[in-house]
Amino acid sequence: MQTKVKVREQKILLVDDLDYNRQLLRNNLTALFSKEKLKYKAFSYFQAHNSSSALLAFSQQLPEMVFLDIELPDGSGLELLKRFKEQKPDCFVVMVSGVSTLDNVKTSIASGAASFIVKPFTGDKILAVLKQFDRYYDKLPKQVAEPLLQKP
Amino acid sequence: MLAQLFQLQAETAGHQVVWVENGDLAVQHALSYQFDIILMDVQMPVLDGVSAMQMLRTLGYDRPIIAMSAEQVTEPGFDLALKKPLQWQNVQQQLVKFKAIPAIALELPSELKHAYQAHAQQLFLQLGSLAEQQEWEEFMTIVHQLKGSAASFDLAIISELAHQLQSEWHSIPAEQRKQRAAYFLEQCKACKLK
Repeated sequence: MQTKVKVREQKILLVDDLDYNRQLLRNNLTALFSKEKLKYKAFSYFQAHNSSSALLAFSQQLPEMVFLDIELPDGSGLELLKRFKEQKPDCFVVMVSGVSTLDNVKTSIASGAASFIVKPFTGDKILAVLKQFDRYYDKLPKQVAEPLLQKP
Repeated sequence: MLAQLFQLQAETAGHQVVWVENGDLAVQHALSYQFDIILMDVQMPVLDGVSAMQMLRTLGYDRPIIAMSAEQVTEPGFDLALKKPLQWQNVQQQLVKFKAIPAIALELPSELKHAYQAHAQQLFLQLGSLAEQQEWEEFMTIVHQLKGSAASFDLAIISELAHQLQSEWHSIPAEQRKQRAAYFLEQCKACKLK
């Protein structure tokens, strides 16, 4: 079974108002996928620079994973998080913020965030999230995980 | 008092130690992913050790967390529970079981770094004119952005300066804001970019 199963690319949505942050994140995700022993590493990327474009991109792509900055120019990432989880409850959302106050972390968890990255980005923080995604995705109920596996 | 003695003993044994006083700070520090081991007192103010551990595990924190308590610790999620009172020698014997975790550097292509630095230069100019016009709300929004992003691009000092300014800002009298803002920009410019 493992030998000839083709895995469709999963989708990552990167939401940050700063283009450089998205580039940096994408670079490092790609680097970790190629260097580290991760189970899920075939992803296509989508990007958004504010809440409204993020909502649009999310509903079009329904990504498996989202990196979501809390401080966005036209709204709070915490509000977006709720909308995302309504549309796709099993979506793995990583909140990103320069502020790691307990309130921020608690609100994120309560609204369904899977993880929380405190800026600045480091390789360790991003890798921890990807390892967590591997564990999370393995545990998802089969009917959700199966459409991703297509026999050639 | 006990924490200080413990810290001294651990440092003498060659460990680098950061001590924080409650579970809230423990969570914030742990999320920096700079620590190989967390020794977590179970009874702490603000947020107790078990809740802090559970919050970290929920967020996918997968590094060792060791409980310290006078009581039996039964909650799952700790890698180990040490019974208080603690004897440093016993603790040390336990710590050797946990390996140091190699740090993974951030990949920062030089084009991206330079592009960000050029962007930061632009922001400093913009901050200069905002300060001139006393547009403080917009000024602080940009300071906040610098704080969050600069350190990812090899400009940790700028992040630190922005953080300092942000934490002082509410206590700076209105008539001194311009001066403080100018000082901030001077310090930023003194960190030669490139």
